[in-house]
Amino acid sequence: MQSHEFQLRHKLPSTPEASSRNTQASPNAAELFAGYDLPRRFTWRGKLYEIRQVGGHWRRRGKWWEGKGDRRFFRVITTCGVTLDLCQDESTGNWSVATVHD
Amino acid sequence: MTDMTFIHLHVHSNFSLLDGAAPVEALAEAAAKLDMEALALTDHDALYGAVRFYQAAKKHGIKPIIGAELTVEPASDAGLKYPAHLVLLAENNEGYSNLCRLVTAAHLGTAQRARPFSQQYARVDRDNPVLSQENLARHCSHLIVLSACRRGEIAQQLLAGNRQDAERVAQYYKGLFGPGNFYIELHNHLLPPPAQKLRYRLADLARRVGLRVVATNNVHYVSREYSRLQDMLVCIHNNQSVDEPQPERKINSEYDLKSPAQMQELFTDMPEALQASSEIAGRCSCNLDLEHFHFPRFDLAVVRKQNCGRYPPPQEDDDARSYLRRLCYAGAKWRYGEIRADVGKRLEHELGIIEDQGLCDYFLIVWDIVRFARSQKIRATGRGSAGDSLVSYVLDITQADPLAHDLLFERFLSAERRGMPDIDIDFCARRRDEVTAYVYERYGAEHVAAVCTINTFRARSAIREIGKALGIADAEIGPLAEVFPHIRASEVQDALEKLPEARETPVDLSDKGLLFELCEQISGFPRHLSVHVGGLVISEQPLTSIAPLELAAKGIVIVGFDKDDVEALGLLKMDILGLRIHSAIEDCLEEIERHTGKRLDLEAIPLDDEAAFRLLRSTRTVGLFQLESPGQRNLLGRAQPNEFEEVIANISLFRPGPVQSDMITPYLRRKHGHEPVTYLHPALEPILRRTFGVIIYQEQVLQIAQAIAGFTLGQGDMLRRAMTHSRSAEDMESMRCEFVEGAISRGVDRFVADRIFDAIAGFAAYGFNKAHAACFARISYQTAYLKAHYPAEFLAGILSNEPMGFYPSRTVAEEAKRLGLSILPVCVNRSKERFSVEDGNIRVGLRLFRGMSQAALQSVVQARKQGLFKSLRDFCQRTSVPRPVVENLILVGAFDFTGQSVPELLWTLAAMPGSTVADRYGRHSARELDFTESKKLGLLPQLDPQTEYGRIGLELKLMGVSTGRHPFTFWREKLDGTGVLNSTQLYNHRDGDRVKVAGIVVARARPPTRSGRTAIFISLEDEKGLVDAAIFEHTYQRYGRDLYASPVLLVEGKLSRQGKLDLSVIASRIIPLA
Repeated sequence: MQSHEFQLRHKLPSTPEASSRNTQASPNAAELFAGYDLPRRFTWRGKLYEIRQVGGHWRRRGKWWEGKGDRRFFRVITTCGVTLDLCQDESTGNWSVATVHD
Repeated sequence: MTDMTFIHLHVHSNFSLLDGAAPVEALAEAAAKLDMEALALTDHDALYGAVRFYQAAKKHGIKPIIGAELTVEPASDAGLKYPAHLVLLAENNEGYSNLCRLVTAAHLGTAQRARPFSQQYARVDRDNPVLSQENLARHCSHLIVLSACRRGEIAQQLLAGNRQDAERVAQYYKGLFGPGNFYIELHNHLLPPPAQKLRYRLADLARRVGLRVVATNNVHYVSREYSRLQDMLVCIHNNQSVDEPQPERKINSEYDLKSPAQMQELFTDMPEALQASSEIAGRCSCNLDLEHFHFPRFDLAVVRKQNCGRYPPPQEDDDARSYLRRLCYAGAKWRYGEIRADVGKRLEHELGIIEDQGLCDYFLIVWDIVRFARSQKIRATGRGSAGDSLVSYVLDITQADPLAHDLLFERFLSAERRGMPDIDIDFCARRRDEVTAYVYERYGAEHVAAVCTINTFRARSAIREIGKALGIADAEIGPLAEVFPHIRASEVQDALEKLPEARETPVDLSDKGLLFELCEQISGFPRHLSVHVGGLVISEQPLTSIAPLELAAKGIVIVGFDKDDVEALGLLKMDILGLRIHSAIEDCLEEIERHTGKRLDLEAIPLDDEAAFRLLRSTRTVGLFQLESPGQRNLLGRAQPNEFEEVIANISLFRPGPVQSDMITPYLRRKHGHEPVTYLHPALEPILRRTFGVIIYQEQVLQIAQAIAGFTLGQGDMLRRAMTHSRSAEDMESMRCEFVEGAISRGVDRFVADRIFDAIAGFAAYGFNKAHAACFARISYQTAYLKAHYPAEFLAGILSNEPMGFYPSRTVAEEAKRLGLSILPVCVNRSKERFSVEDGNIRVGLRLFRGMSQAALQSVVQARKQGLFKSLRDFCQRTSVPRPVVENLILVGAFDFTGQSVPELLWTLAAMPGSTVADRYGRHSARELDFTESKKLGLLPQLDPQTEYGRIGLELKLMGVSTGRHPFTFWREKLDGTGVLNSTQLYNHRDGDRVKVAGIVVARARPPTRSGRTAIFISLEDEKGLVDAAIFEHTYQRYGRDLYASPVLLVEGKLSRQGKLDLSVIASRIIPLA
């Protein structure tokens, strides 16, 4: 990971809700979530979210034949009660929201 | 081993064909680096990698656990989505034997292995072996069993929501293997959330059923960087492109050989599963016993009932040891007339070592196989270092006299070195199956199997298969694969830089980076198994207790280990090879007997026949065994051999090693007196006299070590082997010290001893085994004798057994024409099955005619017994030769005896009803064909006759030979006035002249060179003969693409003429003509 804080720049349209909420956010101070290589806070659509709990962690292989790297996924519950699947592309380090479980 | 934190118990190597991406050596090395004390290997439905994994693990100081992941019949009635997997680990040697039996049962089912080439396996699905529950229950002891991956039956039932079925299956296996031997296997591959639940459901089930859980990682590669290769392998396996999703592909890259720390992180909530892995590893202890031989005993009682020919039958009180002695002395008397002192001494010496190493049974087994072949009049000759043994010679296993040719037993076997002896025997290719059938009958089908060959990915196959999976168009893959010679897949990138034919390929290489990268990674990976060309394994115990068996594509039962593994296991492996030259010689002898009424005894021909040596010196050696290649013909022209010993030298000299180390030049210069024959020490003269002071043979190294440094011959062979295999400066210095000290103690000057050591050190890696050369030289000389005295019979024999040797049939036929023989066209009345001699000329046989099946051929032979064919209609009515083949026979003149022209015959055939002529399947049907207009009118139209060019083309296509002019004559007409010489005109030119030659390429060779630079030798055939041309690096880099662009080439260059007959063109320009 390039930094311990992240700003959501890309969003994977895995749900219709997610695809309609594509907003940039600004970075925040670095702090790792305990036990995971995952920042504790992130901003998305201009709003700061703090991760309260990680509900799962999984990985998917990218289309390596197109030069794409593996992706890490985290199912997180924020302090404000939103459940999101965050995704990081390991080849670029970029983060995105894969799914919003509202 | 109780303090182990985690041991990988479910590991696939690349012997999980087209699924695993880890070589076994890499797995063992990686496990050792991770400080693991043990590692399991559990390939899919096979133990292919078990022996080499065992060796690699031992080398790296870790405990090997042998296992397999088998596909089994479901234990429950509930349907499964996929075939069920089960991981089995050998707890001990009995467990290993059971594992072998189970793998065999999965592949061969319950079929009885009664016959070697049985059709009873016809229903066995070779690609999808499944173990029945019945067979599993039969051999389930001494195994520790894991419930396997998501494809395990329990996991599949849970995933399908059938919890009760899953529990029933778990209970069943618990009962079958015992509660302490069956574990529920857990993975944590960081799969998406729904899939992660399986681990907890499995753990819950284990608790309810009273089973323990064990963590594994279902390893498929050493590290994550190989996950894409693994993905590629699965795509190749499924014949799908990477863009197509499929359930067998892994979802992520977590199937690597994780460290214990990583596994602990993944199983923080289930430490007992990790602990179980180390406990299971601690229980597994399997010793493959690679230190001992496991030869079968030779049953003397069986021999008593059989015809032993010139050898005495065993007496009642004989054992293997005493009978071998009796055979050897009887054989020595037959070979030498009397037991001379040197013969007796050498026999005693060899027998002492053979007895000491417990090899009496082995020699008797080999003798018995050869005895059988002789009793059936099947030609058989030994080859290889076995020729160094007098015992082999007097047992008639080998045919070159070791005493006459200075062959040393210690090169084959010695008291100093215990190792598996290797006796390879060549049999008449046509009758080899009779010999293997005898072996099966003699030792029982349970104890004999063919050895397998593990075919690996090479450049062409890797490009084709990876390219296809990457979605590269066929139009690009085919041409790209074709530009590479037969090289390793890892050499593709290098070849693209160095080989012009690859570099200048019209295929766009800019987007092929990933393809070449994967080619490099996949290089050497096993692709599939095939039957070894001649290897048979014979065992004392039933084979299935030592090695797994399966069915090869040809329907032959093979052992699932290759020849190196079989040897490592100490099993007896014999190479029973089919040699086509033996079939050709046999055909030749039969033809001679047919014409002269006398059977020629090739063993009795003089070894100094002037006509045979004249033929060798003339370099007209097309068709001769081992002496026909362009390089050999060139060498024969330069060497001008006069005696048999020189034939042995020639065969030894034109080998990659001697060519690379340039032994040929000093040998020839000294032989012809262009430089003095000198010896570094007088003691070397008797050893090197026959080779003019040049070290050519491995046996000479042994003799030198003995004469100069006082080594025993056995120690000399150890030195030779060490020099060949261990070339580190440290090792060489240690060997030098020992050699020089030994020499000094025998009064040899230190400086001289050093130089002699340098000479043998420089040679050791390149020398040739003289015994092998001598065995081959006998056959070579016999073929020279036959060609010199019976050219028509000999070349007919060669043509009947094509493809063989260096040249295609048409070149052999042209050679016959140059010798003044005619090639007579195929004739349905006169042609025999094979090529035959008719009035001194060669008649084309029916057997090799394109499309002629054995059944159709037999119908012709049988019909002819009732009388010759009178017409085309008569032929069609009395045979089952299919209509397309009859058409082809007409086209090449097989019905010329009818007096009708080819077009007339074709019209006649077309007008025949279906009940007269057989269809393409050889059946006579009642269907009437459309009558032609000509039939209605009772007239045939005026038709153009065949052109000569057309006829020659058809003959080459259908028979492989042409009866008329050489095809190149048609090009010659176009080359008139261009200054292109024919092969005979070249002899009017001098060394260094610039010349142009042209012809059809009939042979290409690219031998390794000392400098590593490219040297390609080609043979061009024109209407007058053969021209050899050499293409060196500079020309190759410029014209390499043209060299492979056409079968007809014009070569311009400088004539190299080193002797009267030694001509070749050093190419400077190449022009493709077609």
